[in-house]
Amino acid sequence: MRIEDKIIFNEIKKGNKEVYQSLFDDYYEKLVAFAKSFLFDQHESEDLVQDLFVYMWEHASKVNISTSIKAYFYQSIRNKCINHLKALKVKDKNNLLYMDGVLQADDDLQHFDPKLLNEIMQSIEDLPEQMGKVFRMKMLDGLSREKIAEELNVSVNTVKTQLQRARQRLREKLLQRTGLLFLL
Amino acid sequence: MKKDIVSIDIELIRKKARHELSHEEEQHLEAWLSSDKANKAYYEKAQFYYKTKGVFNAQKIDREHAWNMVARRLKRGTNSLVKRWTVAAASVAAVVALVTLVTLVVKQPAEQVQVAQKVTAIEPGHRSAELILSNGQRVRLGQGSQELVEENGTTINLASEEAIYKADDQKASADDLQNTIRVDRGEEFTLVLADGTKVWINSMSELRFPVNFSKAVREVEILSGEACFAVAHDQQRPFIVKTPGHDVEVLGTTFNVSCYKNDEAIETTLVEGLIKISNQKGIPEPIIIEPNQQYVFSKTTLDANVRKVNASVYMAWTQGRFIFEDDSLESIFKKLERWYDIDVFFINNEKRNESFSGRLPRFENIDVILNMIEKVSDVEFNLQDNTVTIK
Repeated sequence: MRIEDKIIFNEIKKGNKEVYQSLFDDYYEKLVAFAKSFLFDQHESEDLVQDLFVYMWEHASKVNISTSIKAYFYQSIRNKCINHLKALKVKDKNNLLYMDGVLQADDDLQHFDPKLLNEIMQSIEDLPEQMGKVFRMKMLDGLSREKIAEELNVSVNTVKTQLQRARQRLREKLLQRTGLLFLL
Repeated sequence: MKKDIVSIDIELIRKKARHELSHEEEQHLEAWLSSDKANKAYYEKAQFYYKTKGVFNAQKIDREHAWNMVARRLKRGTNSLVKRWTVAAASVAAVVALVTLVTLVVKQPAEQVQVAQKVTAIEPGHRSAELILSNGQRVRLGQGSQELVEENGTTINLASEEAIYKADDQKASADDLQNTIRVDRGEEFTLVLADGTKVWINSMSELRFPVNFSKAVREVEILSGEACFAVAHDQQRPFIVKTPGHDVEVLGTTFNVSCYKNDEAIETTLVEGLIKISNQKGIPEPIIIEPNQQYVFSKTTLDANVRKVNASVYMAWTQGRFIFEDDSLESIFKKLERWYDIDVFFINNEKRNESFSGRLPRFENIDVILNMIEKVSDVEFNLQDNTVTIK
């Protein structure tokens, strides 16, 4: 585990609610968006993410984080969603729901499944130059939109649209790879 | 009711939205759908998402509200937040306890819920309604599948939980025929209009709508009650909902309108997109409402104002729940009255203003609901025949 994550998690074990709340603030929306691409239901997704946060707080001493807090969050939500789908007898053989979730979550990609990451890296190659650059800076280097705008000397709005388009293109690419067209 | 275990890949559900299923795949999908009710619910949400191309996916997330919900459930720790709670008013403590309790109770299987002995079983409402066709003929909805054809060729597919309109483009005249749906006490129903707009209609509501949309403007009228609209996007033809106080104009969005006759105000709550309030007495300029805003129009003073709300709370009924957030018992029981078809009397008038927060299931018998409220607040209910008295 990274040292920062270790410190953060230790604080949570000790009962530091401010640290806990700032984690919540950082991840809540992203995790809900992620869950929602599996469940298609905002209420259920929000409930699921809230349950995870409550569990993490109440059982901090039992929670075992091997890689990073971020990976723990996404992995837990993914597992919960897959269990939910299992009960409905729905399969996601080609990881389509997962891929869509990863792109919806709008988070940097390093913490997701390496196989999937590889697929995405290959697809980035096919993006137009500027778009690929913006996407890489955001999703892989984890830079803020403002920072990217500054470095490339464009407006924040341009960065936003580029990211949106990149995500859309990428989604189409990824789904074509698995022989499917996606409706977006 | 589980038959054989039929599983399905999400791929088929996606392909279905694009009408790309082979005959065999279609049969497979049908088998999966009919094996469990929950499957159907999931399927519909997925279809809705794919067919609307995720337009409604951008529903706003209210993080602050979510944090409050989480913070209330936390028990471990002795930091500032907990201290703040202990000095807060006793009613706040009651709310906290309640939310925890309700979460616990709701998560248990129904059999384990403790039911007080004194109450008789009053069942929740169900999905049914009455449809009045353009020729005045009345049809009961919610009693199984049937197909009707309107005079201009529009077909109406009746299923147990919804009615789906499909226009016949060749025959449809410019003069729209109107249907009316009446949803009584203890009922709710869902319509899919000819343009693909989905409407959830709550108890004690009446809606008038054309069986097909051939004009430049799509117009429906809510005569009374409550409905939630997920409007199919059509840049060319705005969608207008007429209410007794004003019009609500949209291009494609999700919002809820509540205009009960015995409520003082008409409330319009927006989830996603933008809506325009127009045609209101005394207000010449249209007013734009943004997501998570609510437009409140007073029927008595004709005043209106816009307030910030958590829109998902107002849509909860379309997803089988009641969500209350510091709502007064008076307003809560107005809702229960309509859904459970009961009469409510407050013996002690002060209790009307007592507030309550919590998420409650909409498809449980009323004693479950009353028990939950009773356990954490300072009220006592008595249920006899169809009347609840509140002490």
